[in-house]
Amino acid sequence: MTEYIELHCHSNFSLCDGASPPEDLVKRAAEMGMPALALTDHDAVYGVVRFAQAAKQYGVRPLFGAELTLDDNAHLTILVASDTGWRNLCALLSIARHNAPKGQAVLPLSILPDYTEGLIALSGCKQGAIPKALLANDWQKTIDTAQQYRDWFGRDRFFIELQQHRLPEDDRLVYKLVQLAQRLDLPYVATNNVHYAKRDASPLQDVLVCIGKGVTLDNSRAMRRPNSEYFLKSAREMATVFAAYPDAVRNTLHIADLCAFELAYGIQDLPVFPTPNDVNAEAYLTSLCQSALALRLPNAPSRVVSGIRTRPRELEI
Amino acid sequence: MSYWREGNPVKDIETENGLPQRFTWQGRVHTVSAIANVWRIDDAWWQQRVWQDRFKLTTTTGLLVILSHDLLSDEWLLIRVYD
Repeated sequence: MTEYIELHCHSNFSLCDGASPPEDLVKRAAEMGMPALALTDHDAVYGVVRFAQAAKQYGVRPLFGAELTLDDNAHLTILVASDTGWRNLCALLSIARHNAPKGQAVLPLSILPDYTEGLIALSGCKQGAIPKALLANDWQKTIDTAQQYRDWFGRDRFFIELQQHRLPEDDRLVYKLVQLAQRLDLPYVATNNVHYAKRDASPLQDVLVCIGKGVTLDNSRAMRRPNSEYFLKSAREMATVFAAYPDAVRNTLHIADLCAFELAYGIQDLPVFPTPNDVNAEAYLTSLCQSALALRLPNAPSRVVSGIRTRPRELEI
Repeated sequence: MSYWREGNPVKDIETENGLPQRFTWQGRVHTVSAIANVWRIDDAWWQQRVWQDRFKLTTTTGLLVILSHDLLSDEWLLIRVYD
């Protein structure tokens, strides 16, 4: 039986772009028997807790990632393989958010190579640097960009991403991307750049795009997607679409296996606080509070001070 | 080039795996020799939804045309002839 795992999926935490909440995406994945699902919102991971909770409820393994916006306006799909990868992705997103006006993100390309450990990169949608260069018939730039990403992420952590949404240029673009992968000995993988769980949410996605761009439906043709093929597709549907490239579907399982990161939520993983002589942090806090009692409560009766010293209730919380 | 916004009806369409193989247009049977491109449109749902597969193809009779399959009505139309 063919299996497929969607590795490029936007929820409504891709604001004014994704139309389905994480729960709907996970539920649909479970209905189709998809063993795992990735969440790759635009420059954000704020949907991951709800995504992870829903995944646990529906028995789908959650994979975490994001679609980065780089300073050449190119997109890059990122998946988290390890704890280090998660820290690196969060750092990249923070840098990208700090580098742009509120609500936007722009990651300086020069920063990226310092934060690739533990991450897997897919070459992205049509707004990825590689597809853009191919669509512009700039083969040399295509090769250079692919080699750059390969060097940064490693040969086994960088995949050429194939998408086929039944648009006029898609067959040719997929063919060229496969040629590129073969020339550079890179693996390729199929994704559907999902923006809604089911086809019937496509109109909502159109409306969200119009709200985001501040235009009417009638005036938004160039901004909206030309059809409703950006839904979560089954293994059978993807195997049919990529019948000529069965490895593209198979490699989704391979990449999912590489993603070993598990999100811990509920209990905060607090940073280590440096203390003098490496004394226990709680004991250090207690000593600081007790020594400050006389300063904070100079006129307090001694029985009050004594009570606080012997029963530091707040410190037990 | 001839273009019909509303489409020009074709008859007796024969398909295989959803792809057109043969059709009759203007009283003549045309057999598909090659399909150059296939794409899907889904638009204008807030007015009158257009949900169609489009096929740019050549025929053994020497035509280069775009056929449209309306997925809502299952109707086949010829919308463009390159001449």
